[in-house]
Amino acid sequence: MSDQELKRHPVRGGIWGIPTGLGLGLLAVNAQMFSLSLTTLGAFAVLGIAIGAVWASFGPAKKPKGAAPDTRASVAEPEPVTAPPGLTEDEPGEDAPPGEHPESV
Amino acid sequence: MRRRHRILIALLSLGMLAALPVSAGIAAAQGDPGGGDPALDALRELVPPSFPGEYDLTAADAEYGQLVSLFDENTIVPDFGNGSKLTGVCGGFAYSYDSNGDLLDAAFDAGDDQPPVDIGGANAGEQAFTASNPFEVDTDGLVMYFGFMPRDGDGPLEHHWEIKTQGISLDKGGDPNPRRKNRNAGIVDLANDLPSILKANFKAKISGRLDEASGLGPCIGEGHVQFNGPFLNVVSAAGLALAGLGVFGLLFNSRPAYTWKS
Repeated sequence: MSDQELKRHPVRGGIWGIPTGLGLGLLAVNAQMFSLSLTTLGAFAVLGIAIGAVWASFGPAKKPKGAAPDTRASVAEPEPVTAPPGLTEDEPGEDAPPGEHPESV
Repeated sequence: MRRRHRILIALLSLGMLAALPVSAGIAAAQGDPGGGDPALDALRELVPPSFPGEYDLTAADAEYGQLVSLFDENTIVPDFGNGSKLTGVCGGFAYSYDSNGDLLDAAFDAGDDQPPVDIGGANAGEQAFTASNPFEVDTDGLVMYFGFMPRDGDGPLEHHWEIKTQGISLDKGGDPNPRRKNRNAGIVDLANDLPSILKANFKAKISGRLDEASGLGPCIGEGHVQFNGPFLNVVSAAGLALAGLGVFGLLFNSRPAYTWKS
């Protein structure tokens, strides 16, 4: 059974939070809740960064992609070693003269 | 034509900002939107309730004189608060009408050191151009204005003006004014003159300054203006686009994710 590892992306979330915050700020300005100013938009951008970073850190995690790799396959049975043709006990090579088994030497 | 328009805009802005001071008597009537204060009611009656059409300088000057004479100088407003001012030897009034020609807002500045006073619309009697009582304009409406500098005597020579918001210049200009004109009146047709990017819903703090070379001193004003435009506009479209882009990125590119350990 393979283990899962949780990866968080707070920096990426903060970056995506900037357009989110600016967009919400412009919508709030359009609703005349706040004055249009660099201070207002800056505050919303910072708020967006914070929300994005928190979301990317503690939001619901996505399931891993694909099937779990079978870790047992890599440590369990080694491939059977086959003797080169002509070196097997049961089936001597065709070019070996009859009666001259290598191990009999 | 362009320069004349800019001068009108400048005088409008400065006039409106300057018109901010008149409030002494009127402000006493705060909280009395329906009337009852004789001084305020008299001022209200002077403001045309619907767009009166052509507006010449003589009529505007006479109307301003009536506003000043009705202003009750004996009534003192204890605290005008902040958010709007108009300093210098300048003043005037501005009336704002919506796209139907109905009065939306009106402000008046007596040319003293007090901020302008609201004399029309929902908040008549309060200090005008403040954050809580911005001067309202309809982006498809009209603004009638009268501005002076000074009220009596020769006007400014070689004046230069600039209107800013958040330190960003919105417009600027100037005029040698060799005839030393000291007043102006007119109409700003916002439907035609306002850039399309400004036809939106927003409030903004705007400052204006006029400097000149004849020793009158600068005219400096600042105040809040509320633009009433269509709901769907450049600002809301940009807001929706940015918010949508950001939410998309948050949902699909930055969520925590489980991965298989290698």
